[in-house]
Amino acid sequence: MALTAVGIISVGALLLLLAIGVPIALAMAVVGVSGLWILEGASAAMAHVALVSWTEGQSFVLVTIPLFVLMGQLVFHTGLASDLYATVHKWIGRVPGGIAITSVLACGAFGAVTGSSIATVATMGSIVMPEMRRYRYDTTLATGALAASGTLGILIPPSLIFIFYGVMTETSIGALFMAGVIPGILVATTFSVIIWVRCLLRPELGPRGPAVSWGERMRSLTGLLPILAIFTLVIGGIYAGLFTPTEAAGVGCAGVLGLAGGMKKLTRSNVARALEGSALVSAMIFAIIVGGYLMARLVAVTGLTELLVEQMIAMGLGRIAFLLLLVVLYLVLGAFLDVFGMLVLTIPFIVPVLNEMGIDLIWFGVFAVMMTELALVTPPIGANVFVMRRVAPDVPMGDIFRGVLPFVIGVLAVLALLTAVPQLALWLPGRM
Amino acid sequence: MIRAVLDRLDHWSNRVAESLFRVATLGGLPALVALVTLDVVLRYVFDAPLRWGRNVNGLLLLITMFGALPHAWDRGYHIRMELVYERLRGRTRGWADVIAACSGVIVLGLLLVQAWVFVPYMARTGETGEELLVPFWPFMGFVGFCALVFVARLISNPQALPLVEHEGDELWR
Repeated sequence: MALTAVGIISVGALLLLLAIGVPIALAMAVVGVSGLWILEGASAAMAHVALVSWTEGQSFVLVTIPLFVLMGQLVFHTGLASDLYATVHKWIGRVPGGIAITSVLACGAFGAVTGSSIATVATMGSIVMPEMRRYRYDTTLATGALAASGTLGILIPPSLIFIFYGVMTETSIGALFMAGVIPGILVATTFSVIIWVRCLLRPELGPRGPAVSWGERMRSLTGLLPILAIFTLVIGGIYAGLFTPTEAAGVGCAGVLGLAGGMKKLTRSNVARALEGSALVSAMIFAIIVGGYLMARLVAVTGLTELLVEQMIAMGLGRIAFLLLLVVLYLVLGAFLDVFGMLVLTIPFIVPVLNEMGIDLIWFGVFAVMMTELALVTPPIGANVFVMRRVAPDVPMGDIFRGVLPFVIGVLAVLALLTAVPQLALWLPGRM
Repeated sequence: MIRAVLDRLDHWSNRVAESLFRVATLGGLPALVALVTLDVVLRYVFDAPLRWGRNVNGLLLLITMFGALPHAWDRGYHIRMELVYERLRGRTRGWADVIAACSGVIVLGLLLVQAWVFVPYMARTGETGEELLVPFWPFMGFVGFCALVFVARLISNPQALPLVEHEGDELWR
């Protein structure tokens, strides 16, 4: 059978398995290994499975994943960031829509050290939602702002999705982290401006919070210190070239343990739960990576990527048209797949085309992560929206999705800006 | 008869999967944190980084990942496209679960067989790390054993329904 025919049939089989609900890792692995079996024989297929598992299972770069997940889990379970909201609220709460803007900034900061957008929504949602109800915020605005702000966690470093992307594309994780900083700030600013303008035009959507004295504001700054210390240690360390991302993750874990211990927030059960959660999440991601690599090997052997590149070039698509196509593709995929699934399924096919078109892989990492952000808040999956619904069960799902819509437009606007000015993402990595 | 065998397999493999998980969470992962941090401290404070640090990190990662894999399946830590799956009922859904489990059995089964082949080969050739002169074959054996346990869990719990829901699981899944 022709190589490309095997490749095309394999992709069809993969889509079929995914459609009936076979876990992504297993679907990719079984299709990859079956295709390799057909093309190269049984012993080669077995060797591929063992060698990919063995090599990736010992990869120094992959050590970053369990360590960053553990850092996030430790921050989450020890409640190290519990004062974050109170501090930001004292500074921002007075402006129109101030509590919602506070939630954006607090989610960005919390997400930056936990790396999980869903945990961010659940934690910040349960803290901020009662406050917004107390000040009679419009529930559509409130839930939409919280669900959308949770996505900042995967854009502002350290971000698990960037690590995953870096591993799959073999690009520098440190550079990806740095590339996410300015776009992350831009998205947070855009979200804040959207809330502020809407509340300025319609004050009933988000009334002003209580006045706070400057003395109180200054005293509250201590609430930011733990998060600031961890962020500076990890991201500052990578930027200054002191640590590799793997080392930064290890030092970050040790830092969180030290801080939580110093603040008497460290208990045996907290640590046990964090270790358990980290091992489970990391094993899940590891399985997806191994499955993705097996599928990528099959795709490479069948020459499917070359075919795709040739087709793309023959279509004469320019950079912008190609990126627009990807926006549509990711919006469609986001309707069916989780963020890891979206990336692992597309990267083996897209990266060769990107290389051919001269699109920077670091820049594209930011683009891809922003697209996966949208998948977290758009129907029908919209994982953040489901979590938000659990935090505010009286708000209909449709209202939350409606509330998220202005922020989706905001992310697309920032994406357009990044496409027009790629240096917004590439400037910081270039200075490392 | 088949039911009794499956029950025993379920009981045995669940206990082993939990034990492997404890090795990962109480051994592999904390050791990984300690070693990475120690390496940084030794490098900056004493100018004496661990030469074998990366090799040991790799092996600890291997233990952590493979040790956690079978139990992660039991806790429902996997990502699937749920749009169609959630709408499947009765026998159709049962078939989807069987296909998913069979996919896993094929991949993990192949890994198990290959590990079985590699272990004696590695022992014979004396394969070790670049800096760490520790034989690698026991670690390949560990990978094979975890694959065996995972296959047993796939057969015993093909639906991958969480055996027990733990607090906060859904936040990180």
